[in-house]
Amino acid sequence: MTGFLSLGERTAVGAKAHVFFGRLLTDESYWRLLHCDTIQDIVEYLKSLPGFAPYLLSVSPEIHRAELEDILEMLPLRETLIFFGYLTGEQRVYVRCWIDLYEADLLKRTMRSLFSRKQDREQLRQRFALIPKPSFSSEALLSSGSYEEFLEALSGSGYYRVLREPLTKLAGEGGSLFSAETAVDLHVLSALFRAAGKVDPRNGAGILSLVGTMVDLLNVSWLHRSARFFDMHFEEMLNRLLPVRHRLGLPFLRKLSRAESPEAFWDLLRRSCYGGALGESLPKEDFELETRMKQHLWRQAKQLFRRSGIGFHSLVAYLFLRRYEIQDLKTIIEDVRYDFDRRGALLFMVRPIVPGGERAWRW
Amino acid sequence: MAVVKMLALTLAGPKEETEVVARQMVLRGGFQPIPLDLLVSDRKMRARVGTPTDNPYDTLLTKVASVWHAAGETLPEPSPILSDRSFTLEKARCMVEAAVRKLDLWERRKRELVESVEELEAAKVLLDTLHAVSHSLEDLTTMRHMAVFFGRISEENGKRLLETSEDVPFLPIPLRVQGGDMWVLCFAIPGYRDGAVKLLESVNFKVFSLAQMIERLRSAEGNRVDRLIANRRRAAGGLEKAARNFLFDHRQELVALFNQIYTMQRVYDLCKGRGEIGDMYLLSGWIPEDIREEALSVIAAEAPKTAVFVEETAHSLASGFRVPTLLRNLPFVRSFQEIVAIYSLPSYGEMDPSFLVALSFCAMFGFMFGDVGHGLLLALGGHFLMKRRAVTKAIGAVIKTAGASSVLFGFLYGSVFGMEGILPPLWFSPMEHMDRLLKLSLGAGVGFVTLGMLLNMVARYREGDFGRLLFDGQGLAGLVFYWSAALMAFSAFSGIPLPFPKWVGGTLLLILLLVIFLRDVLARTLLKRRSTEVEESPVVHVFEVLHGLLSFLSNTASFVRLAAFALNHVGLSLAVFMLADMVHNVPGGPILKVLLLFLGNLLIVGLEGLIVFIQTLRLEYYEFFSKFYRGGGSPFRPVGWTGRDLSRSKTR
Repeated sequence: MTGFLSLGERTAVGAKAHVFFGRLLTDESYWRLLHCDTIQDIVEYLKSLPGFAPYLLSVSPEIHRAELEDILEMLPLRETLIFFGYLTGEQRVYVRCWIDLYEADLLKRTMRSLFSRKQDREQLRQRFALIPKPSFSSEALLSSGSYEEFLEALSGSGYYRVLREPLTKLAGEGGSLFSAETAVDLHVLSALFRAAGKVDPRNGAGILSLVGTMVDLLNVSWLHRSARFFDMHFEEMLNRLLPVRHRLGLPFLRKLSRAESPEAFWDLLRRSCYGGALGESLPKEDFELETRMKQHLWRQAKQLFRRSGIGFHSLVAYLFLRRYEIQDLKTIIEDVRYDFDRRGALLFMVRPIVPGGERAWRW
Repeated sequence: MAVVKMLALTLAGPKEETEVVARQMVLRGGFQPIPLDLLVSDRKMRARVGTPTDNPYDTLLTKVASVWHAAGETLPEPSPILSDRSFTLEKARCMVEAAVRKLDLWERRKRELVESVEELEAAKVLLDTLHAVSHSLEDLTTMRHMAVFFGRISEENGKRLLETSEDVPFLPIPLRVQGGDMWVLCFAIPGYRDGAVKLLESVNFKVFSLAQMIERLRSAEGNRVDRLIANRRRAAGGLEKAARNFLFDHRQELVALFNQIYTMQRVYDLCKGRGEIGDMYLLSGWIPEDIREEALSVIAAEAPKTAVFVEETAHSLASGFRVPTLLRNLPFVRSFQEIVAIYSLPSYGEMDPSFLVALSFCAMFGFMFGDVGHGLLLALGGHFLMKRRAVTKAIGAVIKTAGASSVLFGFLYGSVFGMEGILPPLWFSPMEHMDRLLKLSLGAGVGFVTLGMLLNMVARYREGDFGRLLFDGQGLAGLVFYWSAALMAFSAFSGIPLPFPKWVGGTLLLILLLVIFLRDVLARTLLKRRSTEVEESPVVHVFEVLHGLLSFLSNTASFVRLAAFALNHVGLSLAVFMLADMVHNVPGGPILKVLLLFLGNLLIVGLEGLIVFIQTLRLEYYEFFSKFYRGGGSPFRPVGWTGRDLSRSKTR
């Protein structure tokens, strides 16, 4: 009976995920959006698309860029919630961890607003209301006037332990939110990876591989960034990595952290299990490696989605794809708003569309 | 019973009246603020309007909340309170100061005690370890060739520290794992001191100063650490107890104060879109027309210096912001608003089809599922689901109404739990009068399609789009075409001759078809006006007309399902009875028979009820709505008290 119900659950969420997948932007939509002249045009066009219309119906065409981005950012969460109600067992735990990515984002926003003393509490309140059964009182969090109160509002939740030291230090000595934000990210991403490991492969083979790849690439990305942009000792770099690993173990990451030049870093990476997936040549621009990593994840998510049959894996893959789609949309919006060269935007986008909008992919 | 007329209300007045006005508008409900930048289209003007973001109640709320913090309790669930004009910010400040002055002091003292307990506990862990290896704290502080760090770290980070420090001149020694925390003593060579500090920072290591520890222990004057910890814990506990007692004695007043401050904080937050120019404020929003008088009288009484501007708008503001839709209907029709909203909410100014849906839904459902017994079970099921909150109140009411309609049609068909013959049919029996059933359903189809087209013509008239009203396939030309074709088909099937020769009918159909094809041209030449909608390309238009013509046939034929499902119901019931009769003579037959009858009837109510429900929805949405209804309205969202309220449709 349980097996039958589980099959029903998998089929229901899988079928729904396929319906939602059909509403994702096409190549032509991407080009159409890139050819928009104003934010107004983008809003109008998005309103005509079934994947966006329900969320943008009451949006004014005069909407500010930042507000539009805010609405779009919460869109994958709203969709995730539609599925959350159907799920039970380890699949539910996984989706809960996925929702926690958004909860963590809100938590970071609230911290930032506390830090900058500029907060749109009503907006945050509305967003917190979307999170089902949070482990802390969002009202207490939003009413907090200091980091101590903020921490106190989190007591009893999983975030308390990870934020205790960074926030106490921040309250006492000041500084940036970097450590606190990193701690939150590490917490939720590790939990997602662990949850992916617990999903029964019969319910979704390939999920662990996708999330694991994300974990590995995030670790690589962190090492790349900290080597390029931050003055960090290699142990420090290693300590700020995710505490979970998939295919890239500590010995390899240690070697990467000690790479003496970008060429050496790239050489090591090319010889790893992800070498072929990240392109042939050494990335020329700073952002390029990260874009290639996201593109690799995008392709992997798409492969997972196309895997035969429908099931929980369809949902997991869809949620990844939707998240990247929104990231791309934000890139487009920025390009349109500041009237950058539209073809230049392609370099930053996760979905590899080729000039002209043909169906062939870049890779 | 329609889409409620909305008014754009703009309030302008002296700044000191902002709070009173905002409070009244927000707390009385029925007010949806409009961001000012949407209202003021002039950029220069917009630049002069400032939107303040500070909230004077933030600090006060934090102070009131400190009472609960001090007592070690969680904050109460806030609820809004409508306070009067006398509750000003100054008054609130005085009340808060009076209530929390003592508590503030206690809380600060308690925090100091907790910190000192933490340090003493750290000292105890370290002293215990050193004692076991016959060393003292001083031995650690006097080390010249080693930098020493002692502190606490989360267990997970502790593991990472051990893992990543393998290759550096740094030695972490875990001393104890306690409640998810790891106490660690670390040694580093002096040249690596800075690196060690960075390394520890990266894993959020809480360092306890050894020098401070020695100082604290010295000041304890020989008292044992255990005793010191116990004393300080007791003192902190005493302060918490005092705070708890204070809260216990004044809980009612404190909760009321908390709610009042919270209410005002929310009022400020919610009206953040308000603008200020100099000493004036501006607040704009939508209100339903029927609360206009009440709102104006409240504002006149509470904020006499505030000027009110009421504006009636068309479908949208100049900025493109659409007027929200609020539906108000009779109680019976209200639940069917949900059925309409599932398709799409009517846009402002559009016809609300809820009443027609309520009537037609009941009629069609009863027609297909007419049975006294099953209808009763369905109504009871709807009531049960509603009570258990498995379905919304509106959907529960729809199921109950559908059940009642089934009962009514059950009497008309003379059917009880699929048995015909117990009750005399007041109208006819479906199985015995299949032809009549078929004719009725086709007649209903013609009626519905006609009604849809008439409603479309009304909508076009209201829009002033006379071209489409007269010449469109869904307009007058289409209606005449449809009826002519229907009459000719009726004549052909029934053998009843038409009052005019067939060629006249054929020519009329051809002329009408031509009119429909030339819709836009005729509108431009004869009426000298263009459609309010974007004109399609000729190719698209041709296909649209062909689709329209086919849909006349398909939409009408689709109503045959009314008869099909009415027969299906009888057929399914017969099948259940036959199965039950078959098992009657096997061992345990009577029990099996009862069981089969019970399960069979449940299946009919559950499964067939669901299918008929879906078929009815299909007829409404596809066959009926597609003729005239557009939807796409944005719901009226008056400010509420939870985020959910703010984002949910509040149609009434």
